[in-house]
Formats: sequence, C-alpha cells, structure tokens
Amino acid sequence: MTAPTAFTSFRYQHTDEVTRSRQRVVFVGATVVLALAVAAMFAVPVGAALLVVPLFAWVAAPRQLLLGPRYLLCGNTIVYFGNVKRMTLSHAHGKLRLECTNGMAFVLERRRFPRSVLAVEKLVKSKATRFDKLAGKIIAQARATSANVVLISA
Amino acid sequence: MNALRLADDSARTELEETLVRWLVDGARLQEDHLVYQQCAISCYSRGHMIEHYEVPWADQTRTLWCNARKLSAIDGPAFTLNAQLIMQGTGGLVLTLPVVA
Repeated sequence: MTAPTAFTSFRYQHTDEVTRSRQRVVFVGATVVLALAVAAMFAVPVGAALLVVPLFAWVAAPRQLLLGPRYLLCGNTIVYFGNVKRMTLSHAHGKLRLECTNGMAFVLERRRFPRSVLAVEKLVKSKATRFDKLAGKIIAQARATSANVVLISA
Repeated sequence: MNALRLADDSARTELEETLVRWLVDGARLQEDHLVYQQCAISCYSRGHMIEHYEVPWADQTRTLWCNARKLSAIDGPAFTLNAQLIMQGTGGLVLTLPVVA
C-alpha cells in the first residue's frame, strides 16, 4: 500500500455541503442512541438534554479547504494544479481565480475565511493574512506542477 | 493511476480529473466502477460500459478494478470472457506516484 496523501487543512466557508468524517458520523450516531436509551430507561428530560451533544457535534463540523501536493479539495470541488492554465490574483478584491484546461474555474475568496477575532481591524488583517498565505501556497503548487501556468495580477 | 504507473504529467491529470469527477458524481450508483484492461480504462454503470479512455502509455499488464472506495486487481480472462469480477487484491501492485526521471 501507499502512504495517504498529506493535506494541509484551512478553515474556509465554502458554499458546498459540509463533509463529515466517518468518526464524526459514528460519534453522532452513538450519542443519539445513548441519549434515546437514557430517555427510555431513566428520564426523558435528561435524554433530551443529552441530545445536545450529537446535535452540536453535527452542526460544528468545519468547512475546510484541503491543500495537497497535486490538487486541492474545497467542498465538492477538486482542482488539479497540473490542469490549471491561468491564475488571476486580485489583492484589491481579495480573490484568486484558477482557470483549468477543461474550462472550469475555482475562486478563492478572502471574505470566506472564518472570523476568529472580534476587533474589526484585526479581523480584516487576519482574513488578509490567511488569504495571502493560502493563495501563495496555491500559486506555488500550481507553478511547481504546471510549467505553462500563467499568473495575472489584477 | 499510480498502479498503472502513469507519470504525473498533464495527460494523466486531465484524465484523472475526469475519472475522479465521474466516481464522485452524486448521480452515480454505488456499484458503478472503472476497469483497466490492456491500456484502456472503461467506466461501467449498471453492467454497461458508458465511457472508454485509451491510455497507451500505461505500464500495467494486469486487469484492475476500482470504485470510489477500493482498488483491486481482477482475473482478466474471467472478466473478458464472462464479465466476472474475481477480486485478487492489491498484492504486487505498486501504488506510489511514479518518479519522473
């Protein structure tokens, strides 16, 4: 067998459905069963209160962008760096657009990085830093994989 | 693609992306699968071949089967003659990314 592909994960608020790990689904299922068992055997209010645990675990599944050596995964989107023909980076709009040879396009947007700080100026700086970091990695990966890729600064 | 010893070039990534999109398509049935045989990859749905891609640069003599979750070598003659999927596992397959010389 081969070693699994190493991905770097980034919190990113994409609009696709959240992908939940098998462990999370098993945990949610087990805690629902436990809560229902407690409600049936002991007290309904206690069992109902326990349902908060699987509910939280289900809702709290993070939206992520996974960056691998050959491709990135974002929700239902997969972008092979080897198939990227043009990259357009706009610092002003906080967007990195990747156009692929098959006509599909993926846009990384600064505004989709989650907020982790409350102060507005820190929030803006934090989003910009994370966007710049991830955009830089994607550009480097695409350049390393595809010799003909073009980078345009807009 | 690694098992076929396809080098990581643009021809591979274009085909790989096409096949991956087909495998993860929500409309696809769970039993749908890919079969590699004699330098060609075929997409099978409901027992019928619906797509066919030539990969003359593949370096694999065994017949391989793959769905979105598993990969296995299969009995080539049994598949050719009777469309039987006799799984033989991944023993002997090299699954690392081929190194470009």
